[in-house]
Amino acid sequence: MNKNRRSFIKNGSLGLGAAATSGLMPGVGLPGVSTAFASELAEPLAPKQPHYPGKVKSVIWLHQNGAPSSMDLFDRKPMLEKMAGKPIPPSFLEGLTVATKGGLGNLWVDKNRTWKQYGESGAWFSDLLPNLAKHADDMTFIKSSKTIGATHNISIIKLNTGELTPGRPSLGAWVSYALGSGNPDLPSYIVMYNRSQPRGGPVNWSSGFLPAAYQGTTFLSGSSPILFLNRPDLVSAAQQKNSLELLRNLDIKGLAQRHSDTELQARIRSYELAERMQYAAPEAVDLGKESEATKEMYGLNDSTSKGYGNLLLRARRLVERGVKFIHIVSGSPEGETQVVDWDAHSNLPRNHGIMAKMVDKPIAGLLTDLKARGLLDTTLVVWASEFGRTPWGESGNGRDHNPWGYTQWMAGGGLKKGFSYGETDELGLKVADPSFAVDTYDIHATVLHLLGLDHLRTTYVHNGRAERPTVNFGKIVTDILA
Amino acid sequence: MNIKNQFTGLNKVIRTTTILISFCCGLVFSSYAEDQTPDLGIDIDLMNFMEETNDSLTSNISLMNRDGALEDVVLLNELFVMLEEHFAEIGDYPEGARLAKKSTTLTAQLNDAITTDNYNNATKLGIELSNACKSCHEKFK
Repeated sequence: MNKNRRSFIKNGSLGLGAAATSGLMPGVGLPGVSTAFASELAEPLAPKQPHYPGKVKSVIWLHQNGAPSSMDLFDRKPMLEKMAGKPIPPSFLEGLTVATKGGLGNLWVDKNRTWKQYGESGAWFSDLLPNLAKHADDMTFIKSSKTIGATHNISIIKLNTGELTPGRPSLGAWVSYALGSGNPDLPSYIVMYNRSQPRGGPVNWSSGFLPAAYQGTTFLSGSSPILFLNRPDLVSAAQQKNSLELLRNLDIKGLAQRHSDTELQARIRSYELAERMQYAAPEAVDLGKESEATKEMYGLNDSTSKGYGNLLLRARRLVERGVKFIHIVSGSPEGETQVVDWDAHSNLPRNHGIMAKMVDKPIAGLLTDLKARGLLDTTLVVWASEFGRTPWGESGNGRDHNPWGYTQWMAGGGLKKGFSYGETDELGLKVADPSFAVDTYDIHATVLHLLGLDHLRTTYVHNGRAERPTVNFGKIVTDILA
Repeated sequence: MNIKNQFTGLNKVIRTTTILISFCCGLVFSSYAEDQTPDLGIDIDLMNFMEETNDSLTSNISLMNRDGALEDVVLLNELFVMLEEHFAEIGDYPEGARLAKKSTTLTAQLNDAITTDNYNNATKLGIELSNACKSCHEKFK
């Protein structure tokens, strides 16, 4: 061991010891520890400046779990209607390896499907989304989305983290890491779902190799959104305070020996945050003061849309309270046993009829509400999906997975409104022009850009390697920016 | 020890020989493979090694680690030149040959960018190189 290394370790150890004994908690001085280090250790969620002024302050990430069919919602394909019942021409399959479980069936359309153009933009919407269609001129479509993988598990992980395998931070975690919290009494990254989690579960809102403080916090339905947040009835406020102080002191001692243990740091933070959230979280999700008209606007008066509408109304309240990233996974309507997500391998008319009804009015209500409150200009709403569905049928009237070309959309600040970017081929199978292809990395780069973050400069050194949210890829879709 | 260390820990002559053997192994195996399309005779370990090197390059560019980035990019350039020659030899895969040539050009441009400390340009070229790799893997996986 050379002198420099020895003195580095000595000084480092002493610095940490001093920090620990002086109490490494907010409001306590930290002699011998650099400001940046102390700040990171003591307050990982402190607000941080973006790289440049962002167009939006919050993101509502609407993951449509199970993968809706773009060609049954937004991407009208007259040729598909004409060719229904026939095999797909081989020219459309050039360069594709069809490895999806349903194999290759004949082209299929739902004969009852009707289409109409809406707004000045003339965007096409099917009869499944009559309420959302009224917002055609607020929306920015990306009709040339593509991804990798044809199974939900890996493609959902890629949608949320940029990688096909678990272990990387989700987009929300990167946002939380890069910008900190907009409200010290609430988590900066909140996850909600109605009834069911997506495949893969919490790895989709994990902080991966980032410190654990940046992971998503799940909000459950009901008046107390966070599991075990409430103080037990038999424990008084004073008793809770004493217990937390004891725990805090013990944790600080542990931290002195394992200063790189971010799980422990996150635990200290989470206890403190939990104490504050005992008051802030129930208030944030309490819809009691919302008017009946607002509730109706979000579809809370209908059993199919009530659960999802509830989440979106909460999302608006969280945006108002400064939460940076709200990740909402579409589950299924209360009481529904057959349809659990958008994954319509069979009987797509029934599946999409129910799922579209679940989300249509709530999302339309959210856009209307945000706009009316002047929040849509500073909020980004993203309709995201792990992939789309094939133009050929499966099991008679279903559709298989399609990672080669599908539609996602955004609405909110910094975007060209009523705009459509890219397209799929005439049957809706592949992105028509590969130079317009938008992969999940590109969506992430664009979302970060709108928040004022350069995805190339948002880095974290892990195991000696500089990691970034877009892995080795990512380009901002500049053509959709206002 | 990961595969990158296995390769980069060797001196240049042994490393190049090992890489050539990887190609040859791929070719031998491909001659026994039955009706698998397309079989390019490229060893999967070599591809993994190139991906690892690309990951390392991206990281070194982010960290502005000039020496590390140059070492990675020189190695990648050698490998892409070999890949280009391999595609020329087997023929029939113009898209593979085009992407290999594009990657060789990009690594040469990356070398210039890193040498002149132009890390902004190097970052953009690095993304282009990663996309070229991805396109090739999508085409020939």
